[in-house]
Amino acid sequence: MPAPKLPQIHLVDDDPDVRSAVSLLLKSENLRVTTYGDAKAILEGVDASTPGCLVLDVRLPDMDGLTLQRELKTRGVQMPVVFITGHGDIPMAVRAVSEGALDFLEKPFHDEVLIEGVRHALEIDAQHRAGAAELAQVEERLHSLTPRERQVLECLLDGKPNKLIARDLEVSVRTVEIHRSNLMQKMGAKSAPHLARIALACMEYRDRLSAK
Amino acid sequence: MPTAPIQVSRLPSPAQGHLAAWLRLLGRSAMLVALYYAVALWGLVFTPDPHGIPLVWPATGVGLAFVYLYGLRLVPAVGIAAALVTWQHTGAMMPLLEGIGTVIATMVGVAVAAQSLRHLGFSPRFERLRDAGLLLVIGGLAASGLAATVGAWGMAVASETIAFADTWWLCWMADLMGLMLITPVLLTWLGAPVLRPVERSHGKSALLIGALLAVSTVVYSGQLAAPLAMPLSYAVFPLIMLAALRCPVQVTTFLMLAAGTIALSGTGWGLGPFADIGIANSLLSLNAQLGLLVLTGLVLTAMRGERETAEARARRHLDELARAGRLSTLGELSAGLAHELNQPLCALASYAQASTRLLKRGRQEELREALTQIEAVAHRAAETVRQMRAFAARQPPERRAIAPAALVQPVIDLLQPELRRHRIEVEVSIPKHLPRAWVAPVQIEQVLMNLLRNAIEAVEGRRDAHIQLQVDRNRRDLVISVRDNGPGIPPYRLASLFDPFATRKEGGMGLGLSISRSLVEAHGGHLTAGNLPEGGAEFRFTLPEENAHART
Repeated sequence: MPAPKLPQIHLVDDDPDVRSAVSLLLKSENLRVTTYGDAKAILEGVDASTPGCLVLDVRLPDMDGLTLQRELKTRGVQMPVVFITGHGDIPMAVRAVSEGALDFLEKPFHDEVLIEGVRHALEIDAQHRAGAAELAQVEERLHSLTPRERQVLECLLDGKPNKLIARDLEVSVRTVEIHRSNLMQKMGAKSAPHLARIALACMEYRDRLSAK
Repeated sequence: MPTAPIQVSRLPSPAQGHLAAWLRLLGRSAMLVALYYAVALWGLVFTPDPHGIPLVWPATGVGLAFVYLYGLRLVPAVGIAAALVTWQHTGAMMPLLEGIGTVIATMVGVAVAAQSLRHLGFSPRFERLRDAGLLLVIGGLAASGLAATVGAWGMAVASETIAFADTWWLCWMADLMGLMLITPVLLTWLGAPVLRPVERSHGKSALLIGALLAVSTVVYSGQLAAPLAMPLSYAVFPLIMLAALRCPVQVTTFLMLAAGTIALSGTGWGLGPFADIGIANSLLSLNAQLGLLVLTGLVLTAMRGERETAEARARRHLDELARAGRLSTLGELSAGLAHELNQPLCALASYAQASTRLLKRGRQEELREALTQIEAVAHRAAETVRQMRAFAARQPPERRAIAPAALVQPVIDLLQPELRRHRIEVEVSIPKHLPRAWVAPVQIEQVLMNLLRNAIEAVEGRRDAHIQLQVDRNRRDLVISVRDNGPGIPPYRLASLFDPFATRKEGGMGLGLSISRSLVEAHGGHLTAGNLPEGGAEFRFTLPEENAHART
């Protein structure tokens, strides 16, 4: 894609009038919109790697919006969802939000509300994507550690002092200190707490904290 | 429901009506006088009685009809006509005072009878037995009774040889006979104009009139021997009966008058089967026969009228029930239809909001496009509203020719939200060459709506949900079938499927199929239900074709 950084709004509604009207409204704010008439079209056409958000009608001819939201998630499309609906029933709204929908707008909606909602969704998507990029960096750095450095890192995360680590690993304190300074450098950590924060951002070590 | 008497005499509007009203009154009065005088003249031709008592005296009947139809303002004309007749023909026999008495008695009798008929709710359409009864009783008591009493009294006074009782009886009979013959004709022709234009009845009417004139002429021409002519004189009965049952009431009353006129004229001239048996007897026999004839005609007309009224009432009830059903259906569809309307509203709002933004940014081209779209979407929304209104409208269920596709499409359109929601496709197949149906569209749409909604209910939730709507032709009927691939109708329900309140739906009244069958049958068709061998239910009904409707 020539401009991969420009966010894309994916609008799904079965009514062609609504589709083109809402799309025009968003375009009037210089947002980029792709429209789809049903669930099948978006499942086939959406590109998860482009930043953006989803604007879904709750009721679609071939699948209801909530199912579509779930289906998209299982296919790795993590973009935030703004629901629009002609039948604003509360249970459905609750379900949608509890499944991660960002907003639930009843048709016809105010333009500010929609545009605000969409911008918010795009922001959250951008944050997600930034977070994900950071995470990927940490993972990469973790993978660059040697097995020994890994062991030292895990001991550090458990809160052990150098002496204890040296005894556990049956090496000298000096060796532990060398490993420690190496891994600090590799992980880009400035201090022990900073190291812990970086490591814990990673899924692999998140459990460790809650297990203690 | 009693039919209100026709108010023929309307109040003239103050500005322009005054002169017109006077002219009308004058015209009617002149007509009354002329007719009164003419029938009196005719009656006086046949005075087989040595004292000049006529066989038949229709003049009072003429007066009664006019005064009933046009009000008491016509009473003076009755007086003038009666005076004219009295002065010219019986004046020589009768002293002046008695002459004046006769005239006044005639006027009073006619006025009392006409007012009584009005107050008792008589209808000149003769649609109820009550109308025939009222005319005979009121006419016999007030009009004929009074006129005959005064007439007989006058004659008794004038001539020593006449016994009052005998004369009264003869006068009364002549009077009543005349009234029975002429009044219904005048009332129905002047007072109930162009009633029930029964289709294709003109040919029948002409045929009956021709037959009756022929038979009566032959019987009363004196060409036939009495033993043959006497039984043949009864041939008018079946003709009158046929007319009463099949033709407009005007034809029946005209036939009765024609039969009476020919019979009385013939007998008066000494011809026909009644002429040979002595004057008193002949008068009695002929009048008895004619009286029975008129009675037969009026009674049959009334019974037919009552039957038709009952049928009309039943039809009206069905129409009302059907409309209630449509409203209830619309209520059940309202959620879907509200959504159907909410979509264009949402589109309109979004277009308008976009327009404001585009205007602010000076993006003319896109703005123009948005405005064009706004108009188109608004029209589309209005169309949805129109369909809903058409379906619920209190349309007179008048039949007209309509193409099968035009009958089916509005129903499919109205059901579209429902179909979309349940993700059901309706496969409609209507061959191109089919003739048009002769139906009340709104009612047949209702039948289609009921059947399609049942089908939707039967298949909803199925993955392969499928509904077929097929229009076809079977001899001279259109056959419409609705098939689904649902579970079919349980065998134990097939028998009572069309009974009212055989509810199986929640929220429904259980009247849908019952009303549908009644509506189809009101169109002369049949609605049947069954299960398909491959599973699923099939409902099919027949409708008359456009060119076949004349049969029914």
